[in-house]
Amino acid sequence: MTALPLRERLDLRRFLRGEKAIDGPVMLSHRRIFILPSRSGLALALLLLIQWLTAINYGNNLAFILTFLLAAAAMSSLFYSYRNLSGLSVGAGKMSPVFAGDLASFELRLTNSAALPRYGIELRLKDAEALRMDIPPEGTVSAILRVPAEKRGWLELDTVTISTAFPLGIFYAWSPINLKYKVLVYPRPTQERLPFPRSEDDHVGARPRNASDDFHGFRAYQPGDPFKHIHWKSLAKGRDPVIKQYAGDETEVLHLNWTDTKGLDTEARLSRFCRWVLDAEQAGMRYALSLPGTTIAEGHGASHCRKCLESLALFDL
Amino acid sequence: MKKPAATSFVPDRTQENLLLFSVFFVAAPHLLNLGWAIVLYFSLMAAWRFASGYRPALLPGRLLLFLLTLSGAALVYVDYHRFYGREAGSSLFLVGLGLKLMEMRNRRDVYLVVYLAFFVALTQYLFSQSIALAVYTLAAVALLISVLIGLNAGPVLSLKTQFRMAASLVAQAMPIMVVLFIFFPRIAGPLWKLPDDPSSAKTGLSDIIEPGSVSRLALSREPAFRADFEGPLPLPAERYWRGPVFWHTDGRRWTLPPEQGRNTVQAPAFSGPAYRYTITLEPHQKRWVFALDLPKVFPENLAQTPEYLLLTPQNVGERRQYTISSYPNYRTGELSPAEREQGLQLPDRPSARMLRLVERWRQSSSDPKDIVNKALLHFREEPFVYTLNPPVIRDKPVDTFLFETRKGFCEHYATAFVYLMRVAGIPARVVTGYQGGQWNPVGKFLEVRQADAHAWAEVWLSEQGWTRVDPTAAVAPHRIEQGIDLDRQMADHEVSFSPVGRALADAAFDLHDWYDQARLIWASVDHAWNQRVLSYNPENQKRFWEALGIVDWRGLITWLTALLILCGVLVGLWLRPRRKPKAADPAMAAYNRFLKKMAKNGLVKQTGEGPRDFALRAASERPEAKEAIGAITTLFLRIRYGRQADPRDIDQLRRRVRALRV
Repeated sequence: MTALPLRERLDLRRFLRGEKAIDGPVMLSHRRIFILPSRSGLALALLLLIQWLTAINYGNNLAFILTFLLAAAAMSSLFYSYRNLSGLSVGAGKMSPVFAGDLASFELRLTNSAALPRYGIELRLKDAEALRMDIPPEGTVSAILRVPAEKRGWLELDTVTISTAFPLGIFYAWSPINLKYKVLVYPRPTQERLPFPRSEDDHVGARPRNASDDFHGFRAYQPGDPFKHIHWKSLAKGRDPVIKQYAGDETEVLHLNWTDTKGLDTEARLSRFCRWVLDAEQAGMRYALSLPGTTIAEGHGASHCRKCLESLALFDL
Repeated sequence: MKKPAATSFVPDRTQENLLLFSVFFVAAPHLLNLGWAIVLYFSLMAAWRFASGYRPALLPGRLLLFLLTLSGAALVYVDYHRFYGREAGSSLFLVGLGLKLMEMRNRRDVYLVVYLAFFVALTQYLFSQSIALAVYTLAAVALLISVLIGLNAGPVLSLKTQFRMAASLVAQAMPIMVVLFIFFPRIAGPLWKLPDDPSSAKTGLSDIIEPGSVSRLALSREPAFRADFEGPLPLPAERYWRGPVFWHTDGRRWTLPPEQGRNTVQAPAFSGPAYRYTITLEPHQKRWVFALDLPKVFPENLAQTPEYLLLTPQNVGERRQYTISSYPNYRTGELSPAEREQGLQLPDRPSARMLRLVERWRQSSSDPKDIVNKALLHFREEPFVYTLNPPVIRDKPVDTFLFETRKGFCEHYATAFVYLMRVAGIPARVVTGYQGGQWNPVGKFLEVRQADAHAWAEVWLSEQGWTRVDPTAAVAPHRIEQGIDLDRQMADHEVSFSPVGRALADAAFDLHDWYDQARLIWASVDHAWNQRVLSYNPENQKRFWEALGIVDWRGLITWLTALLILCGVLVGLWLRPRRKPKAADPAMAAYNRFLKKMAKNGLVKQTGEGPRDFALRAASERPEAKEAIGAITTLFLRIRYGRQADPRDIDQLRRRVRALRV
């Protein structure tokens, strides 16, 4: 771990906001872990004060001993609190894009490399409900934090606070973690189904096709192939799924142009395109997308679809 | 301030039962201190909460809870007629703890319950500061801490780990506690006026005598005081420690004279040797200081009554030390008319048989000394029994005791004797105090326990003045010469309470010598506990600091910080992350056992010598074990370096090593 410049080290915001975001797993150490008495801890302090005053008043040495023993146990528990977080490393898990309006999932992987179990670890994102977990010795636990994805584009993980009240709940030990971890948010597809656009230079656009006439042959199933083209009969016989191919498919190209959605604001237009891309992909059509500054040649399949959605998500950002 | 957790974590059934048990465990010693109704109320609440853990419908509603609160407060008020002070205050906390159990719903409530329980544990020290209670509450604190650990760790933590963790937390806290105890600055109390607590809970002599007032102490092993002598010890028969002196009786009960308007003290004429000693007086909530008969030199802050009893200015509420010189040989002066009148006071006309008895003595001699001896002879020769369990006498206690029951403890003999003397026209009074004391060879002090409480008589004779007469000595001379021996008395059935106690006493009698030894050691441990731990007060602290060279707060802070940091480092070292020990290789372990066996026979494997070379050398030196050595080495090499491990090999290797004889 590199040394922190003094100015940054003394910055009080570090207590809540944490340090600058980094890519790799963050290792929790004394620099990142902060400890303060919790509300129960303050109540304990009050109890100890009352006990101390009682002990003085009665000149009672066993009362002093009890008071000091509790104070000493509280002090020792500070070490346990620190030890419960120290040495944990927090890394980002896999990324999965979402549509705006859904919940984005951030997967955090907490790795405990020590031979010591960690109890009552809590993960919290801003004011959301905390996730509570225990991490076995030399084990890793994945925690999934869900964040509502409101806007298309990149959604970055905010500061995550890892905390623990273990062992006595009188100290709150926490560490604010900033990871470079972002999830792509696609535009929210329009809810109602829309007819595919028809443009002057696209005559095949949404022409209803007579699929059975143009049967061409079989090929192996690939992820993203439309369900309705699966040859269910052979699948039922226990063979690998195959797809019925139609000769007409090759000529059926849907060109999605920015000008197809004139008269709407940008976000609404992107939502429409999103809908069309999804529908076209599901219908097993080949489609191309051209946006101002971006053109994606005609294609088909999961990765083509993803490419289109990505360019929609990042359009003009 | 941050909230510990928004998720309110409520303990599961096991944890809740653990909490209930711990709280009950903490509160249990109060059974000895507080009214049984209070303890019963608390136990009822705890049991109710326990039951409602299985049937939640049993939990009381708002109205019932309100009524329970009212009845709890009423219970305290009925018992003590107030809400402050030691007993009432402790009761109030105990009742509060019980009530809080009933409305424990979330995490915060659990904390409140645990903190209340910590305070209830503290209130017990206002009643007793014994080593036993200290150890008991140590366990209680560990239990409560384990409850908090369970609450914060969640259900993955096993009970065993939970307890172990609590125990190590308490163990780590001990050195820090000791540092704080010694160095944390003490302030002389009290900070505010203590409510005058009734002294009934403290055992000790009382300010009235009636049947049973001394004998109720007879089984108490609690020390009354301890005396360190500067020179020789007084003889056992001289060990009369003077307490309150009684003049006035109503026939059943003897009471003390009013403290105001007393005659001035007539200084006695002392002669013979003196004893100089320091007594460490246990708190007994009275002003009396028990000195050997009769004290001449004593600290200036003590006063003396006309009956030669020493008094402190205030009730003795904590352990005190006084240095006193006493002379066993003395002669007090003339009797004033008022004293003579007091010394002959009788409540009503004595009974006919009492008059007849005294008349018989007077006819044989008119000398008061002879009458005293006649009376003592009467006690010795008639079938009087010295016992802790005298029959209860309803009316005319003196007459009934003298002529019918004839069984009594020292207060019966002393009061009856004084009564008879007054009937005979000899001024007499009852003296209470302690008699005897046990020499502790370990701590080199004389320990006087509550069981040594005694009552005797004083008669005024014209030549000597007030003269001590102990009628108990006439009935049970061993009581005076050997002191009260609880174990022997119990075994002899002289002092017994129940058949069970008697059976136990019989069994214990064999262990008597061993037990005596243990008790002596225990008494000196207790003395040390009192001297070192319990009497560590602001003055002692200052003295100790001076011995360490701490003169100002700067020195104090340096010491305190340095020691706390040292403790912190120790705890940190204890808790440092340790590597998990590598799982031992069973084949290597078995092979090492083989090498050890060989080494015992002078065949040591050289460093750098491989197993195969060693086997060849060993086989040539011990041809009779050639087969076994070869087999072991082959098995070992196959397990360690072979391509495929056969799980049966390791068992066979172990068996071969075990069977090897060289």
